Amino acid sequence: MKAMTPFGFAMADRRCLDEKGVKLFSRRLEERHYRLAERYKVHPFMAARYEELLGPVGARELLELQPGDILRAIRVNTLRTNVDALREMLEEKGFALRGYWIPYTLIVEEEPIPIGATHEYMQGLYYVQGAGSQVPVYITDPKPLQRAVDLCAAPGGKTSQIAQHQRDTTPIIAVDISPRRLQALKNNMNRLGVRSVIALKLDARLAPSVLGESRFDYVLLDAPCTGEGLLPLEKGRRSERRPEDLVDRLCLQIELLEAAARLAACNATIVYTTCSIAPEENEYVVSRVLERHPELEPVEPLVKPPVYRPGVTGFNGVEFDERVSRCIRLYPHETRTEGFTVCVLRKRCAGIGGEGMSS
Amino acid sequence: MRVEEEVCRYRRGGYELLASFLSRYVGDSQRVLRGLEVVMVEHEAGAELLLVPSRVYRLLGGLCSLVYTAGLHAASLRRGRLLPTLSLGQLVEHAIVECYVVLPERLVAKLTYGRSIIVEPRGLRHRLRDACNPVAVLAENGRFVAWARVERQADKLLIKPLVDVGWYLRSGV
Repeated sequence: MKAMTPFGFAMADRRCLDEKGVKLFSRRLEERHYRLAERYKVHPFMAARYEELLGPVGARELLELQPGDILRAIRVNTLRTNVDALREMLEEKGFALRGYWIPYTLIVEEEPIPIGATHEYMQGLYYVQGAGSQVPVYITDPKPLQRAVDLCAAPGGKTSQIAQHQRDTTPIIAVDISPRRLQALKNNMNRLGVRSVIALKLDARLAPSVLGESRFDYVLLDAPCTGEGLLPLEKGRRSERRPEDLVDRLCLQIELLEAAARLAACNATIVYTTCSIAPEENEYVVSRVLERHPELEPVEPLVKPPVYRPGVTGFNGVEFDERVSRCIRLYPHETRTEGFTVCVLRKRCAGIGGEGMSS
Repeated sequence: MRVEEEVCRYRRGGYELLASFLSRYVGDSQRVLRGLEVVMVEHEAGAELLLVPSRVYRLLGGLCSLVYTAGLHAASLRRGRLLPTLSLGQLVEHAIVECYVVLPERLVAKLTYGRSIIVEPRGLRHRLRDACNPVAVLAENGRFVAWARVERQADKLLIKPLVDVGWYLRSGV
């Protein structure tokens, strides 16, 4: 048996690890973890995590998934067409499609040409977006007139999904730091015909000082993460992932969620989501921010997926805030989607609420 | 919003230019632009015309130093010429009544590789005049496909795409 701690991880950024965090990243590895790691070409530390999170059977099911096991999905751009019309157009071209529990989502079962290369795609009638990735916005349903901000927004998949929910009636501030990714967002908004987005080149952590505090009714943060939920889709990712990757993004994730909390107005919805199933990047991050922000309350989403797991309230002997059980977890081997975690928070305010975003 | 408003590059401008351009294609260009502001963003090589809803426009002033883009990029201005974009074509596709040609799927496929095509006008739906330049190319489903230059060659038409929706794939962004 060997103990592994983050202090052994090369280059790991430990600035944001509290006492619980140090414990969270210190793990005793046993022979069976090395065997699992060897079999599936993952780091032994990661193998031990999967086993704790999913159990021995679940861990194997996850690690055995292949890209073809994951549902191929598109989101119909209801700003430009409707599900039945698009389905008919694509089926005429030989695509086999079926509906999904999200009404504007179609699952692609057979594609005579790549689904991202049809004329209908080029005409902006749909967006190629994983079914898991469509969940955070769908289950929180941003309404028209809710002032929305999307942090780390590019390339704009979820931004345009918010616009769809709001019927493109309300300004959406999309913030991203990368000009290259913002160019992709610009192209996507143009292709999809979304008019209401203002894209800002800005470090999202600075957004409250630029946009003002308590300004938005709906704050989406799809935080940079290890992409652990994409393991089945990208074979290389499996062997490349190291424990230090989980530690390295921690500061950024906490700081971004803090910024999201500051941007949120009274009674605003804050959606913290990652394409990761790592408790270290989700429930732990949310718990850390809850410690400093008593005004935030994890809440159940408006709609729940038919298959999901609740947020985990402890991992590797570390207890999280028990309210994070209200988070939603999508495991690829159970949902056949990319893995995602979604935590919905409501900002409570004593007395009179914050000011509105000027418009 | 706390960003200083001074020297904002995002200002109203270009409405007349855009409305005049669109009047060649749609019956009432003011109707298709209703509820939208035309914003001109100048840069070294010329300018971009953006279309934004009024509510979005009201926010731009306070944010302008940070704005990467807003609304739809409708056209570019280069040396006084207006170059329409794909999103402008998509915006007005349902209103186009002049200066258009409708192509069947197999020809749309060629055009969206950025290739010129030669077609027999007989059997094609189109409304073309000499003043039509560029021409709006539509697919049979009524959706916009390209802005193209059309030249008559004997009894055929040469259609050269200036910008086509295949660019969204070819650009790789």
